[in-house]
Formats: sequence, C-alpha cells, structure tokens
Amino acid sequence: MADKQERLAKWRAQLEKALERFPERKKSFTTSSGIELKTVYTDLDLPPAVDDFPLPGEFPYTRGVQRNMYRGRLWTMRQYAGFATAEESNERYKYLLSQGQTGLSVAFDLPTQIGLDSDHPLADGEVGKVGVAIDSLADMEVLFKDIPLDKVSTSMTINAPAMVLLAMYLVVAEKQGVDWASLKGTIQNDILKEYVARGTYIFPPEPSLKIITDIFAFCAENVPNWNTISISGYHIREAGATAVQEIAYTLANAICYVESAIKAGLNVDDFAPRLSFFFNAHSNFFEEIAKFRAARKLWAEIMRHRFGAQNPKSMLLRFHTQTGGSTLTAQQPDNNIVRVALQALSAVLGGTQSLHTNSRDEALALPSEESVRIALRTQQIIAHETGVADVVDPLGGSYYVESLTAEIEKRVKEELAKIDAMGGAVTAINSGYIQRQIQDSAYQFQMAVETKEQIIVGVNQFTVEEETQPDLLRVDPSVQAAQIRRLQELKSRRDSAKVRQALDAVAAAAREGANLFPPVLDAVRSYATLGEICGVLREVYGEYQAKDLI
Amino acid sequence: MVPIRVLVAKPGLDGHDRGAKVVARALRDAGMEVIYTGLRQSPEQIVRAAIQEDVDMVGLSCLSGAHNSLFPKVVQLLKEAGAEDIQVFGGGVIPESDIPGLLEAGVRAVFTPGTPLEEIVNFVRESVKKGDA
Amino acid sequence: MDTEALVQLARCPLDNPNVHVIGVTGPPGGGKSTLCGQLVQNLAREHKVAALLVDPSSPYSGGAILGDRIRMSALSANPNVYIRSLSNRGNTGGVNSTVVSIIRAVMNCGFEYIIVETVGAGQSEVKIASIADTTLVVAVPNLGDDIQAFKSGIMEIADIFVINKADLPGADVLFAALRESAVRHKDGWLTPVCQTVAVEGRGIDSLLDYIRAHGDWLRRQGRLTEKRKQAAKFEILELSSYYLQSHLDQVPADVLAANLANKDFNMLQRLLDAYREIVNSLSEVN
Repeated sequence: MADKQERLAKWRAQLEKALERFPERKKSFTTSSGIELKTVYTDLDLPPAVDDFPLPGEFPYTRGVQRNMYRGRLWTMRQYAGFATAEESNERYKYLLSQGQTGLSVAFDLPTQIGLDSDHPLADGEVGKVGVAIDSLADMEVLFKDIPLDKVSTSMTINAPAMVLLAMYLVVAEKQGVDWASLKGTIQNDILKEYVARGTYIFPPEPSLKIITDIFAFCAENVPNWNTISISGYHIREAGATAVQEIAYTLANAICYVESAIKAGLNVDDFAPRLSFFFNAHSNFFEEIAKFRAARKLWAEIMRHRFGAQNPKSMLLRFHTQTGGSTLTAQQPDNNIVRVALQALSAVLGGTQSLHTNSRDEALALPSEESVRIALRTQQIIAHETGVADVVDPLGGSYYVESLTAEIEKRVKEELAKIDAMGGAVTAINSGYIQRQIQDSAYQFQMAVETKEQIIVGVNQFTVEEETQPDLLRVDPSVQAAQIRRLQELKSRRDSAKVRQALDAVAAAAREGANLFPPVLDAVRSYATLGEICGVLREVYGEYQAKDLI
Repeated sequence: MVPIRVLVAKPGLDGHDRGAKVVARALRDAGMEVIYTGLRQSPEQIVRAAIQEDVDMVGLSCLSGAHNSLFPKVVQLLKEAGAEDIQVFGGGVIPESDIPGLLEAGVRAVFTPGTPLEEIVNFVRESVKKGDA
Repeated sequence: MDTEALVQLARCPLDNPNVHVIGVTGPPGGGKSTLCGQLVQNLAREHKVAALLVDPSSPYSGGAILGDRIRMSALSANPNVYIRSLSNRGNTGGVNSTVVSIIRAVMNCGFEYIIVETVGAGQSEVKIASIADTTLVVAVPNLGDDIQAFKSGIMEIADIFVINKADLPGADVLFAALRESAVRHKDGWLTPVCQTVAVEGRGIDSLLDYIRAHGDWLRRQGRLTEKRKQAAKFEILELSSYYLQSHLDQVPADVLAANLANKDFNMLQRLLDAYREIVNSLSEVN
C-alpha cells in the first residue's frame, strides 16, 4: 500500500512537470453533478464496499437485481407512444402486438393527465396532442378493443388521475371476463415529482398521498400483480437536476410514499415489492452507470434498515430508463441517434429492467414512425451485436466506476439527510427547496453552454447551416372536435341520475376518508367522465397552488 | 433608465417549464423585470396579466404542440383589448414549418431549442427599443 | 420612469376616505403571499381590490423576477381584482419609490381596497407604515427566533399582528408573547393579535373584521387624513432620492469624484442650494 502511494506520488510529480509545458484542456474535469475527477483511478480509490465481495442478485444489489441479468432475459424494450384518438391507438397497439410486442405503453394527452374533459376551455388546442384523449370508460373500451388484457402488460403514464384510469382499465377487463389477478402493468402514479418537475398535478400533496395509498391498499388485495407506482427521477432530471439530485429527490419521494403507506396501516412487505422506479440516462457516460449502481444500493439499504423490510423483493430497485429528452438537439437531428445510443448503453451497463430510447426528431415534434424504428433498432443492436448483455455488471470492479458509485452514494445521502432534517419530501416541496435546487442546476448548465464550458455538438460548436427539417408527425386538428362530439353523445345517452348518484358517493368517500377506489370504480361503470370524477374531488380536496418561485 | 418588463407565460397545459424559467432568469440577469405566470394559463389570463402588469413584451413557452392555437390567440386577444403595443414572442418544441404561420399571425419571433440566451435577450432589447421609437 | 406621468399621477387625489390601504409585512417564510391571496379573494366578492406586490431586484443586474403573481393565479381571472407586481428597484425598506404614485392611480380607478405586500426579505421593512392606513405584521411560530425577528423596529409599526400557520406548535407561546408586548397606539388603538391558517383560509374572516375596525377607528379619530398626508410626504421623499440617485448613477464615478466640491463646479453645494431653494419657496407659496 505504502509502496503504491509512493509510486503514485512520483508519477504525479512527473505529470505535473509535464503539465507546466503542456497544460490540459480544462482547469478541472467534473461530472454533471460537479464531482471533480482525478487524472487516473487506481485500486487505492476502490471504496470499502468492494471488499464485501458484492455479487449480483444479493444485498445490497449494487451489481444488479438478478443473479444472471440479461443472460436470462433481455431488458424490456418499451417505447412510449400515444396517438390522438382511442381508435388510432387501438389500431397501433394491435399492430404492435401482431409484431410480437407484449408490452403496451400508453401516453395520454394533457387534459386527460390533469383530469379535464376534452370540452374544458383549458383543453383547447391540447386534445390528442401528446397522447390519447380519454374522457370516459367508453373511450377506454375503444382503446383496448379486441386486446386480451390477460395477455399483455400495460404501462400507463398517468399520475394525478391514476386511480380513475386504472379503474377504467379494470372495468374493461371485467367486461372482457378477465380476472383482475391476471392483469399486469404499471401506473406512474408519482404525484410528488409532478409538483417539482412535470407539472401535471391536480390536488394538494396530502389528499394526493391519500389517493396513492388507497391504490396501494386496493391493489394489494384485488390486483396483486399490478405495479402501483413508478417513482420517477426522469422528469426531475429533465427539469435540470444533476445525476446526484435525480437520485436524491427520487428516493426522498419514495421514502415519503413508503412512510405514507405505513402510516395508513399497510405492512411494508405487502406493498413494497410492487414499487418500481423510472430514471433518466443522460450523456455523462460513466456517471450515469455509477448513478444506477448507487441507486440500487441506497434503496436496498433504506428498505432494510429504515423500514425494516424482510422480503428481499421489497429491497430491489427495479427501474425503467428513458434516454434524456432534453439532451436532444433540434440542430443536426441525426446526431441524436448517436447520443441516444450512448445513453442507452449506459442504462444497459447500469442494469436497467426496461428501456425507452428517444427518437432523433423529438426536439422538433412528436417522433415520426421511421425515427421510432431507428430508436428501437438502437436497443436491438446493443442487445444483440455488442455483447455487453452477455456478462452481468461488466464494469463492476473498475477503479473509476466503483469510486464514482461510492461518491454518488455519499452525496445522495447528504442531500437525503438535508431533506429529512426539513421534515421530508412534502415539506421540502412546499417550501420550494427542491424546485429551487433544480432550477439552479438548470441555469448553471445553461450558463456553461453559453460560455462553451460545456460543448453541445451542433449547437454551440461544430454548427452547420441547417437544412430543411425532415417530415414530422402532425396531429390532425379535427381530432378535438370529434372527441368533443363523442363526449356530448355519451352524456346524452347515459343514465344521468345514476351518474349523479355515483359522483355523490365519490364525494362522500373523499369527505369521510374512506378508500376512494370502490366508489370511483362505480362512477366509472356509470360512465361518469374523468373530468366529472376529478371535478367532485377538486371540490373536496381543493387544487394545488404552485410554490415554485424562480 | 426604466427597466424593460416582460411577462413569461406558459399557455396551455404542459408542465415543462425549464425553458421558461431559464429564459426568465436570463432576462432578469440582463436587467429586466420579469413576471412569471406559472403553469396552465389560458390566453385570456395571460392577456389580463400582460395588461395589468404593463409589460413591454410577452414571452410564451409551449412544448405540447398546442402553439398553433395558443400563440395566435394571445396576439389576437391583446389586439382586441387595444394592447397591440405589447409584442409577443414564443419558444418551445415548434416545428420549423409552423414558424411562418406564427409570424404571420403576429408573433414577433419564435425560438427553438438550442437558441443562445443572448440571442433572446438581444431580441427583447431591440424590439422594445424599436417599439419606443 | 416617465417623469411626466409621475407628475400627472401626483395630481390624483390620495385622500379618498372610502378606500382602505392595507400594508402586509413580516419576515420571510411567514406565508404573506398566501395570506394576501386570501384577503384579496375574500374582499373581491363584494369590492374592487388592487394588490401591489413588491419583490426585490437583483443587486447585480437591477433586473428582477416578480413571482408573487403565481400565488394569486386563481384570482387573475376575477374582474374585481387588479394585480401589479413591482420590483423594489433597489429600495431598501420593503417597497419601491413609486408605490404611492401607483396607489394614487388605483385609488382613482375605483378600487376600494388596496393591498400592498412588502418584499419580505427579513430586513427591517418599516416604510410600509408610512404608506398604508393599516399595517399587518405577519409572524409564524418557531420560525427561528421569532421574537428576535420582530425587534428590528417592526413591532412598533403593527396595527394588527397576524400569527399565520397558527396550527403549528408554538403558536400559543407566540400569541402570549405578542399579546404581552402589544402596542397601544396613542388615542387608544390596542394592537390585536389574529391567528390564521392562510393555506386553509382559516381566520381570514376575523382578520378582516379587525382590518375594518381599524379603518373605522382611523376615520372616527380623523387620523385617516393624517395617514394620507404622511404617505404624500413619503412619496416626495422617496421620489426625490430615487431620482437623484438614478441621475447620479448615470455619471461615471471619476467625474463625480472630481466635481464633488470642486472650485469651478461645486456639485455638492449646488445640490444643497437647490434643495434649500425649493423648500424655502414652499413657505412663500403657503
């Protein structure tokens, strides 16, 4: 050891002499999280955790949640997609299933995501734009027409009104004669990150957490294979957070959900195995890999030590990854293919369970079919041609990656301690602390780009005169009118007395604090609309007022 | 020296406000007074705020694809309120082919991802200067 | 600022006794914006209400992000409500130099209640008392050393104390402490201590009762006119120092230094003479 240190000191002295004549490209080299990097890493940098002989599939799961990882089954290639109307989406899903895909991922339009019907004034211009418009069970029936729900797994990117959309899905299953126990899928259902980063919130934090724990409780009993939440760092990162902040705030939110569920009387090992996560893969290659490894270890230790989980499944941080939308450039869009490939590679080397690769034209508009195919092919090339999936955690033991993993873990713990001291995630959000931290990082990054301290190829260096943009996908503007017509037809033919009664029952349950899921299911069955159900809940719970000051 | 006043607004429902906030800060750091509306503002609310705050310009940010209906609506409502001296610019995920239509509708400039902040700051300064002349 | 407009505004009367100017101040983190939002919302049911919200400007660029409007976004569609965000434009003391001019403007546009929220940067923001008819000082339990935060002169300016977030532990202690030190104004107004939970709208009605009671008391005592004269005095003081500073700021420091008290051009003497001349001619006019 002493010998190694001596040699390293001598080596450094020689390097410094050389640097006097040939200075380096930058004064200091740092990761996106501001971790300063050494010139070279050696076994002197290996953290103590490496001495514990960590193995994949064993606590604390730094090296992976399974023993053989992708040697058994590759990660799920799951592309998020949404189309204007339920019919179009249904056509698309059936096509994808006929091509051998088994997982569906549903994107909803913004009015649906914030619990407004398509005829609401604020929905004007937004109907069917970033996903499918769902106003009632009638639309959901069309969306999954002729799709056997016991044969597919469905991921739904839905948060504030997640209970209503899941209830619609369950009623469609009921009508198909499919047992709820055989349903598989995920709802995002992560409201806390909506307040800090994504913005599709409806109610204030307390009632929102109540709705979430109601879902946990109802599904634990009735829909046992459903992933009831996907705790998301993705959007936190997109809003400008660093890698360390992404993990810290996601875990802080996760801790809050677990605490809420325990407070609501649930047993940790009854719901924790159904918790899943969703992270971002940005461009700082090794930092991203280390980030995923650190997150797994942190979560396993939190679940075992803080919450006393016994079931190993409760300790597994299973996560979906999407490549970084905000890293894509509108300039020279084909360069995005390369960015996405490298980011996707870091997710695979970091041990992701499923992966969405972004399309090259997403900085311009919704992706075209050809772009989506290239994005999917990128994953397939990584899976089948590079060989990186043939060995578990191939970078385990790398001086650099292990050291970076430990450093990220340390910094996340410091940030978590800060949030604990404030009183937890909700307090930190209500005071605007987390939002401010993220905005500061976003602004610093932008300043680094402006000063060219951070080079973005094709944007602030290596620019060219841009050619005309390629063909882009457009949503037909007549979609909105058609959707509103359909909603009006539904309202005229349903039993409005029954709807009123069902909505009153939802309001009563909300006021009394009973589990909301059963009355919401009844309301959905009566063809009450999403906007109506969320509307009565708005009356009881009030609406969230943004705390995010700049 | 009267500081330039700018309303930075998020019309429509999308919650991606990173760009809006970064631009707001850059305008602040260039000595301007920036009023940020927060999310989910209807064109009517934006126009009311612009008039009450007596701003020189309104900057709209939209990433959901609803820009073609929302941006021109703001321009039109300002005009109807007799406040066409308040100039409107926009930004976000906006296809190149939509830009001529937006300019035609009275939007003064459209900034797409990757635009240097300096360009936006200079644009605001120049436009307000011209408007005064 | 357009000086012509300021002079025009200064001609607008400030003495309308049917308008109530309410100042809201207090240390940061007290929920002032939320409280103001509640006051505006309640008052706007029957009255026209203007809210003037002051935020700090950046000492580096002079620019500002005026974010208080976000907290009132629910009110922005209400035709009875006017919201104006103001930068303090470098003014310490919680307000800006033109706030009285703006009060004149809204007072003469038919607004019955004018609420002025100060910066809330934690420094001693006592200027609001020279502007408002009724000054609310907002405190919250256990926000650091609460009483300490009050000792910077802010106790004395309160016409009404508000303990916001009164559902937090420690509210009783704060209530007792404020009761103890409640100031009795001359002519007999005993500063009441109100408890509110602004996020839930609790305690707002009774706070409004106190605000109205204070307004009635001012009118009964004939003190409202007095208050408005104070405000006008504040206006001329602030505007003149603001304009002096902004003019001087445009001159390079070395030029100023060279001519401060030069033989050929004695700037200081000239300035002082000009002031004296203006003040002296006042006595001639009257």
